[in-house]
Amino acid sequence: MAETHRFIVDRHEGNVSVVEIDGHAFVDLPRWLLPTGARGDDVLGVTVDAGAERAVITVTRDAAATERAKAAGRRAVERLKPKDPGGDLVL
Amino acid sequence: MLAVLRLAAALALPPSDSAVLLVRVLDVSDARIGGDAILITDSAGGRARHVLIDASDRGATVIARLRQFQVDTLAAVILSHPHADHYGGMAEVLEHFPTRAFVYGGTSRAARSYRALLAAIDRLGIPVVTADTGVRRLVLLTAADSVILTILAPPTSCHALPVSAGGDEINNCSIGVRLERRGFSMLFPGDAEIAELEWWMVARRALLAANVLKASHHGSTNGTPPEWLDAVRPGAVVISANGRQHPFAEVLALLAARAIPSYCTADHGTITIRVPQGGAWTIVPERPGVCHARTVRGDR
Repeated sequence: MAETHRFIVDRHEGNVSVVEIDGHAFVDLPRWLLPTGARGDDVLGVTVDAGAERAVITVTRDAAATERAKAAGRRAVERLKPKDPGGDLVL
Repeated sequence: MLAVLRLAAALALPPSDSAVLLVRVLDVSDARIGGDAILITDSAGGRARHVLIDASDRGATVIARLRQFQVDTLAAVILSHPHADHYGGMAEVLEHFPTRAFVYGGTSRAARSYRALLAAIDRLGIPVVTADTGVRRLVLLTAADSVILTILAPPTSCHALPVSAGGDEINNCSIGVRLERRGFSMLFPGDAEIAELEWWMVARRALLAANVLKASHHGSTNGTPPEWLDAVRPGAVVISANGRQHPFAEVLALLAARAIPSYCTADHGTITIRVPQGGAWTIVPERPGVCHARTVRGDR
């Protein structure tokens, strides 16, 4: 039975990609492990079919999940806008 | 006797360093992917007021540093840009320290942890400055000694970023911070790369000159072009490096060629800029040493 996970790409730094795994931890991965078209904010579906001698890992860009996650990100920003007092702030 | 000692400890709110203004570029190199965390402490009013720029990717490390420097509340927390090595530890910091204002560029991201950070700010009721256009100012008010933090918004093209460019252009949507107190100034450009630095050099050039520059993008070549140094004219450069691939040899060579002293958190530990009242600013590294390049040649 294959496991499933979810990556969200935070950024690429040279040959390293930083991804959020399953909504919490961030890890560094070799960039070659991801689809060549993977960009920041992309949601990647990951399936892992691991046996004693072989593990097959498939990483697939999930366009629909990417759009849903981006839309949720935009809503989070919109919710904060009314909290801006405007102008300069004296602390 | 114990009670007296406890009382004395409780009253020891001002930092042990008596300088009026301290900027500590914190050593967060034990964090997995490092990043920035910078603590500004203003003691001009007799009590310490603190502003934090970025929180690396590991909240526990930053919290330990803030406690080390006797921080109890934060006047403001500023997020330069939403990459995990800058915001990853921020939610934990906000849960531990009462915070009077959160400042960011209003950039959205898909990552669940970033959405959780914004939700936490909403839940905690922290006022938000969305510096997505023009120039905003934060003032730590103390009569003539006030510290002014001028927030430089990113280019307006960043408004369309979530749709048009995705997360790969986030560095170029950093907000910049220019700190000024009397004759001292320091510039914090986040991780801005060439495109945003060039935009600031055209649109905000009068606000760029500074005594001390925090190198953009951890000392990558795309964060410190020669023209940028021409605009800022820094007397020293501090590099918040994460120990994996930063800083770049080309940047250290460029600074050396111009005889600009450089300090790196990966080599010097926490780097403190001291600005005493009426005196000259100095830079005090946690440990002696010289900056070492982690990348000899690269395009980022």
